[in-house]
Amino acid sequence: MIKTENRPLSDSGNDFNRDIELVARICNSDQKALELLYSSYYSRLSRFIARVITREDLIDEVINDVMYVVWEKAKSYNHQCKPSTWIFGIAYNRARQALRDANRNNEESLENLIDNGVSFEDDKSILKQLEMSDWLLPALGKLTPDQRAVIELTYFQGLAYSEIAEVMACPENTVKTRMHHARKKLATLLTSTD
Amino acid sequence: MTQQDKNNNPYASHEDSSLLLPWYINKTLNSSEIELVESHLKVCLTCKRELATLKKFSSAFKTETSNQTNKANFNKLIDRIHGTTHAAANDALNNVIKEKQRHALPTANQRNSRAQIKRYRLPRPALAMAAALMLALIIPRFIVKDNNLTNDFHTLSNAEIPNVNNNSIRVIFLDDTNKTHINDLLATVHGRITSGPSAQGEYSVAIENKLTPENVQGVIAELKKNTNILFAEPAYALVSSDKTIGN
Repeated sequence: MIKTENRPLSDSGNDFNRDIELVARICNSDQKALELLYSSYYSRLSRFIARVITREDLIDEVINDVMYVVWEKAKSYNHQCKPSTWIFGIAYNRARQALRDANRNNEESLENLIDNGVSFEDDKSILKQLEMSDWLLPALGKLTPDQRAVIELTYFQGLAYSEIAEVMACPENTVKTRMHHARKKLATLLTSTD
Repeated sequence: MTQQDKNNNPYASHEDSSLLLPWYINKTLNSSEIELVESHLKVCLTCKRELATLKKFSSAFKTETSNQTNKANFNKLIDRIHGTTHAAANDALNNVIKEKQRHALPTANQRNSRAQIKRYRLPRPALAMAAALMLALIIPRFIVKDNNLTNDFHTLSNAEIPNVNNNSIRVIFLDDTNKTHINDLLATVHGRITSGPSAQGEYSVAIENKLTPENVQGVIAELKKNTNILFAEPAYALVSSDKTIGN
């Protein structure tokens, strides 16, 4: 196992410069740079993807999909946003795609999957590690993947709402609205459990 | 209400401030947004309580996760990358091989054959002119209509009927019909014999009035009612055949 860093996404200047350099090296097919980037993002991506798809069996697969896209498309990174925002944008898209594929295979609609909180109760390892308390996990299971993504990107990854809008490819007001609805839902659930 | 108004009146900025609270907690707001939220928090008990709840939620949410990467998973990624790299390299290699084969030195037999072909080969401009000449000869045969052929058959898709002989018909009478009876019959449709009878007993009859194709059919129908008439058809149906035979 590779030792990795586990820190929020709100990059320091050093992280930003290091990521820029790694992406530049990946453009030149530097496998070592890919390994370093992989290590530094693994735990953050695991958490984020786990939040969106809530499927333990798919997390590593999605991470590999994300890093594969990074490897293939490094030359298309245009420096308009931070490398971390770019990578989490890819992760968000791949996670949603995985969720759609899983739903198609299960012949269930996305709404059913969300409403039933499928697989939250069956979670192991990563998802168990994310189980901050008895009250929070079932509550998060009642949110939509988009709402969970906003919460994860805000509270753990430490992104500004403008960056979240870039990751999720939506307007800033949509981010605020998603957070607002998530807060209302959580408040209702937490009140009912008190 | 403008942003300036909201900044000046902290009571008026409840909605905006409330929406920004999560990012006030993660410290990513800009200075004017921080000022807006903080001035509102001073006067809004609801937002103060909300902030406390969100802080609790945020700290609960930040539970540490594993610090370790799955090495096996990374190896899978490398295999995948190499898989595609190998595939791309193989494609490139195959292309190079094909290219080389195309330009490979010919064998002795191939060289002889090529030399013979070269000996009889025309210069390129001459070949181009010959090809153009052939096309000029061939293409008109596909474009120009052959009237002799098209007039032989009238189908639904080729229903154009010539008007030149609209008032000519061909008639065959029973053998025992005499000339007077024939003339009487033709007189009922204002027809007169122009030629005949042929070896097959066929008369060519001209209708005195100029008729449309529809009128001709009417005349023929009228004639066919008579039992002495075996056959009656417009003459134009066989025009080209006649011409062809005549030629």
